[in-house]
Amino acid sequence: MAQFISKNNEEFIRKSLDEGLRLDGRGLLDGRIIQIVFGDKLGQVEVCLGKTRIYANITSNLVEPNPSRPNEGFMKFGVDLSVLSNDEQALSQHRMHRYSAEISKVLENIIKATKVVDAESLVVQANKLVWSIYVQLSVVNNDGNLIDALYLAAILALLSHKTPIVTSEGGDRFSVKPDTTKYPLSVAHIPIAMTFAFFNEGETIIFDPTREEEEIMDGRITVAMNIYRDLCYLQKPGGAPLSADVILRLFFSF
Amino acid sequence: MITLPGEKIPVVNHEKVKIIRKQFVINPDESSVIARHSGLIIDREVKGEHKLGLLTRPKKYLPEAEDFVVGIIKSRENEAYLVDIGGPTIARLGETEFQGASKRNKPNLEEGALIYARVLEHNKFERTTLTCISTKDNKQWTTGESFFGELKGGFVFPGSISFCRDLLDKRKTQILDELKKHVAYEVAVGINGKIWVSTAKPQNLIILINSIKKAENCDPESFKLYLRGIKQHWK
Repeated sequence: MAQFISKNNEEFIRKSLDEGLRLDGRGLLDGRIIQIVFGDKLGQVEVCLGKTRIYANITSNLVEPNPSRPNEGFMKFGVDLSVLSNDEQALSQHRMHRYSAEISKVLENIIKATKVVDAESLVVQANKLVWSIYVQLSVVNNDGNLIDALYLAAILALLSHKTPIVTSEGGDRFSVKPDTTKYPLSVAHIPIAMTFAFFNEGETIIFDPTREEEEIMDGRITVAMNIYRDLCYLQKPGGAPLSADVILRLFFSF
Repeated sequence: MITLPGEKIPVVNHEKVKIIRKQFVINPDESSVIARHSGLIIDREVKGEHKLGLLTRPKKYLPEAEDFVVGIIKSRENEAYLVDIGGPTIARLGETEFQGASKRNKPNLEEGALIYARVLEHNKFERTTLTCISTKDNKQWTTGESFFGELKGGFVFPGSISFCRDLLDKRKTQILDELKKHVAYEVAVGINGKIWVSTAKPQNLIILINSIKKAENCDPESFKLYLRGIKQHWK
């Protein structure tokens, strides 16, 4: 049965936020401790953002390119949110599909559109052979802020994944020698996603919300920036309206 | 010996054996008891009494009569509230099931409000029924001093069912007594795995919630040391 948050809890969380207190003792703009464990194979990583836990796995295959885009490889993201449909979290199937499609779109927009891994760098030979990278992400436990955790798992998996060299043997034949050195994907820059939840029309903004805070927030905003202070991505999915100076204040606080 | 739910455990004379009602069901026809959860069986003689226990950590709450539970009001039916107590079905609390309440004089609970109630009846075919009338004291619901009824303010969080059962046990009050030495607070423990706490200052409430969550996984001695360590943070 779906558990929903009681009024007492909601009032207490809001009252504490007005005084600058959060349930786990963090400051308003403090994030949770991040734990990263790399798996046995390259491209496997487990990320824990507090109690939110994500597993990422990358598989790469050699395929023919799309004839309308002969100079581009493929990169796809699969987000598995099936743990959200268990008793406690109880998201209906339909909402789960929509949420996982929304998250895949966010990941694609940050990684593909800003050319973190340029699709052209995945080409082995134009018109003939390209790499197709599939990033598989599964949520093991949801304690809030899935987007930041999923993005971190995806980017770490991409940074650690290595592919072998493919040599052409003339015509349409290619070969991959096993046990040769593998090379990492060419990553141009590394944006980091940061999600904020806001309350009271933007008067109170917190970073890295937990599940309880997410359930009562007025709205959420996700920003991705890289080390050169480029704004790579900005998303505000619905929620209460936010004025422009609140958003600018957020950027300048970094 | 590990047992699964539904397994029969042979007992020589089950009138002389002490069991916990929630863990076993007495099988009157045969000389055995049936386990309700999976777990490790503990069979021992204490001061001449034969005790049978089950070491288990149940996560799912199964309601039984005379359980004290913390529930959230989900909606209102005609003349009753529908309350979520985390059981297999939603529970029903009659509108006038409060001490001294009548049709004209009854509390008006909103959706999302918290209540402390007693399970009246539960069986597989009907909804669980709750009541906020206590058999022991006679305080009217209007005074706010009645044992059951609406829980105002505070914060409710989940705890495992075995932890809540220990907190409700009169012989094992160490954790709650230790906390009493540091801060004045109010607590309502539901055997359905929900703990409600309330105290005056929000900072103290946050520390209180985190301390109780920590107490679930440590023994009373280490809990005392933990509280001593965080002493300066209480306001």
